[in-house]
Amino acid sequence: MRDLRGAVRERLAPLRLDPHQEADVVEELTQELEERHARAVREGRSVEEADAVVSGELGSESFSSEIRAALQSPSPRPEPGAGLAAEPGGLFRGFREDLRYAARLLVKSPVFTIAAVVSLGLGVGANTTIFSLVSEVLLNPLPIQEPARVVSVFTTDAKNRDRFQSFMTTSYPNFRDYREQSGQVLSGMTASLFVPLSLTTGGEPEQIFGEMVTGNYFDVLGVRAAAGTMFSFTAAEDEQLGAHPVVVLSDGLWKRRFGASAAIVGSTIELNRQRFTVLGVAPARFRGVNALGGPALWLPIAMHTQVATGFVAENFDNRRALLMNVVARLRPGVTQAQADSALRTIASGLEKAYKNENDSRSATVQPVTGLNPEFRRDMSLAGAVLMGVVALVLLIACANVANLLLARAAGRRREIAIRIALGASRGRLIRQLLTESVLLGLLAGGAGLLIAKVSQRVLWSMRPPFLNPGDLDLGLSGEVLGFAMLVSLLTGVLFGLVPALQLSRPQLVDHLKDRTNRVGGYGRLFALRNVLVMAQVALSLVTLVGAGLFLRSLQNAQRTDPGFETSHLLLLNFDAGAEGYTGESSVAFQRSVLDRVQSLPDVKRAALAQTGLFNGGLLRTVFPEGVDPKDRRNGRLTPLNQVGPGYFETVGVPILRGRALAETDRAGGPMVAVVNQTMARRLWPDQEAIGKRFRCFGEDWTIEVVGVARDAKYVTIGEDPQAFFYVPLSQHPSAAVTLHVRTGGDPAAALGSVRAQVQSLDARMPITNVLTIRQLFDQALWAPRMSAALLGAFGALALVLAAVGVHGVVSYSVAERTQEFGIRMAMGARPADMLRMVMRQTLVTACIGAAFALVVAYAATRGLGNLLIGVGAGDPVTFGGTLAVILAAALAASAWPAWRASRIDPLVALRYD
Amino acid sequence: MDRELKKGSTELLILSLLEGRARHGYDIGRQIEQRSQGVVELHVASLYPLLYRLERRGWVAGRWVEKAGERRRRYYRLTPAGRRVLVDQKDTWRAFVAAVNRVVRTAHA
Repeated sequence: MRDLRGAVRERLAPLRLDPHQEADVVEELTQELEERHARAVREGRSVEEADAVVSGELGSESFSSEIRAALQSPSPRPEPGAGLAAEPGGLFRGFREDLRYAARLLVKSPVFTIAAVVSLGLGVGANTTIFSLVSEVLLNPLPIQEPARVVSVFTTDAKNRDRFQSFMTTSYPNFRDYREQSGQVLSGMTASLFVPLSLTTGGEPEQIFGEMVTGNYFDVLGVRAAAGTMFSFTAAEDEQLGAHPVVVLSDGLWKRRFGASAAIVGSTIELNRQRFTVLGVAPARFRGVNALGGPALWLPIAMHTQVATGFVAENFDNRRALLMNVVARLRPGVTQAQADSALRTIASGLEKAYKNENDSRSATVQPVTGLNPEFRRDMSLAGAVLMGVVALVLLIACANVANLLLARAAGRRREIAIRIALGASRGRLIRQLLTESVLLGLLAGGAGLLIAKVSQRVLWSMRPPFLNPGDLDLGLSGEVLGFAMLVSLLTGVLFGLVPALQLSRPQLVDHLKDRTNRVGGYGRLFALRNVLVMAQVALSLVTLVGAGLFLRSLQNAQRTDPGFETSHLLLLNFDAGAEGYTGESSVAFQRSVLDRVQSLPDVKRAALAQTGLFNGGLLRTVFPEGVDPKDRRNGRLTPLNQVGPGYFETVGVPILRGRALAETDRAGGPMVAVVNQTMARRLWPDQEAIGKRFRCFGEDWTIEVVGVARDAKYVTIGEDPQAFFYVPLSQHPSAAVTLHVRTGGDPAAALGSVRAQVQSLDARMPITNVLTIRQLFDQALWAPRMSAALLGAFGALALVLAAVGVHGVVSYSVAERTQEFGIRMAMGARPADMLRMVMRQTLVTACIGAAFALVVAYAATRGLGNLLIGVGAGDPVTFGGTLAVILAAALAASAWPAWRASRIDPLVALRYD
Repeated sequence: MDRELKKGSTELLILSLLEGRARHGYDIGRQIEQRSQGVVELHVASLYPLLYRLERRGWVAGRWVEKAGERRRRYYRLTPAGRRVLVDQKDTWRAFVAAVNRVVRTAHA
């Protein structure tokens, strides 16, 4: 037949109709003429005769004039939507149609739509939740003026390159010198230091953390007050000790403690029994130079003699005591590298001038992030792992929906083949199909945001105990919304593109004539659907390996012996110094607390120590006797704890040799210490440590080792054995102490009476960090537990999604191969053979995916070393177990369709179309 | 069949056919032809201009409809205004036919 469409268009051309209208009319009339032609042929006329019929219709004189007259006839009201339709720009119009069509299709098959939206929604939700955390902690710049021009200054020490010692804080005397000499490259430099404070205004006495800052702190950061004003002092004013009793409140404290009252500005509050005037309130998002956590208030460093106690008070002017966080602003035009080299030069001058204190120490300038660079690196790694895992989950969800789309598309092959035959371009078809998948993606994005909103809250409720509820601004910020939107769109394109490309392949026109069921088998092992199964198996295996490693790591952490009593212990802190006790009176107060607590019926023992369990200890440089203590290369940085009598019995750390510290080790008596096994081995290898003596840097006294204690865990449950020593609290007093109480029954039950005893001595004494040993363990196990929970949840999600996907593919392929199975059974195959065949084929496909994934997982988990406890990245148990789980899941998912394949009635199957 | 008579009544035929359901142009032509047992046959050049005219008047509305496994087609349905016109025209037609019958019968008698 000749080109009817062209002929119609030619006849209408002189009418000069609106292009859209013309296209409609051409299409409609062409269809009509085609039908008439086909009918003529059906009725037995020859093709030539049929052509003649059509030509007659088309050739009628009145044809175009009638149509013109009709289209220009008076119209009493406009056609609905005519305004839009008449607009130029066919793209938009076509898109609108696509969208409507897509929406209708989705509504028409609700089961498919819900399955796809839920599956993708979970994926998008997981991604959005993790992204919102990562973006808040790692990506968001601090809310300060031009954060890119602000740098952190750290002390480096060529001698101490252990983990978390590459970037250290700075001593106040060194800071003063840096500040004086760096004016060429820095427009301002500020130092800050956290101090515990006892706040007695506005409610119950409470221990809060304040940040002592140099007077230029807010000016350097460029932060303005939300209410009142910020304080601002010169370097000279910083030295006027006790002259500036003012504070700036954080938004959090202002709201929590003072009900966000504006009247607080200008009023007086009491901190450590000193009166301070509230100058202003900081903006809501400002938490100092801290990405996580933040102080309750800021006060001038000139007040340090009023509020600092213990080690800080004693070492404030010690050039070796690394107390200060230092932050600076670059002068315009100065790069970070230039500032870095300038500070190194200054530091090297200070090293020469103060050989003893600054030996091998220098400075480094880093971008300001509010986190220690090394800690940040670990956090980034953890963030990257989580982002990677949720991305895998999303990919699995995508593969799932691609499967669903493919299965559904198979039913639409004829429709699409007809549209191709009618002249729809491939691009147009792909666009139509992509519109559908992107629409699905966006629906899933909406669902994902809802899921994220809930899971964010759940996650934050599981935050580590050192963070307060207001420490992180979680929520669906613009970036997070944008991220979710982008992920949804990408997802839509990703899972829609493959089916769209496949469906719009021109050879699909075959489907118009031919619907033979081709025989399946290994020949189509790498057919698209099987590849999707392989991908899902592979992706879920990688996710599960991650989950498995962290579960094993948690298991190890829980099994780890911390080296002390793990039940019936209660810990609480009090600081007599903050309540005005000094020296003798502080010791006496501690003494009476101990006596009173020990007299309680359910208390077995109690002891004081400077540092609580899992809080590490003050680091000192230690020299064994016999080496030159002037040469710091002979020293080792070793943490210590000052402990009172009965500490070892109370806490349950066994003394292996020698004796524990006792009442008889008094101030003024011979200095003694108990060292742990690792310290004994490191300082005196192959020798008996008891009776040996050592010194601490900068001190002139010598300490004698009187006992060796068993190694314990001092900071984290996963740490390697580290050197540690204990000295008597009486010889190294501290006003701030942790009371360790060993109870007969439930330690939580004893808390009330213990607290009452302390406060019966001083009602204003704030008691802080009250923890049972169980809670302490929960804190120590937080990171491994959290990683295991998150990765385990995502792993389970991945496994379920993948199993659903495998089930779908196998079901579909069984349905498609009904005829083939019928033939096989007609030829004598037994049902069991069918069952075996389907399951074997699934297993082969799954194994290929799994083999690939094992290699990828092995490579990908290499970098996890620091995050795992007692388990290697290539852990064979994890890999083997995961592989078994995945293959079992694949088999289980194919069992039902395989069983159906074995029930096929050959007679029915052979009639099956 | 006489051309003028046909033209005047085709409108009514089309509106009646659309009364129960929406139909596409080819279907309308076929239905008219089949139900009239071949007496009324509409050419493309008369059917479509008429449809477009009815659409312009707002009595019918055309819409492209896509059905699985079929090409998209333009379906016409009766608008509320068209429904009122149809009721009106049917009454007129019945009155007219009755009148004609009476006249013709009288003439034969």
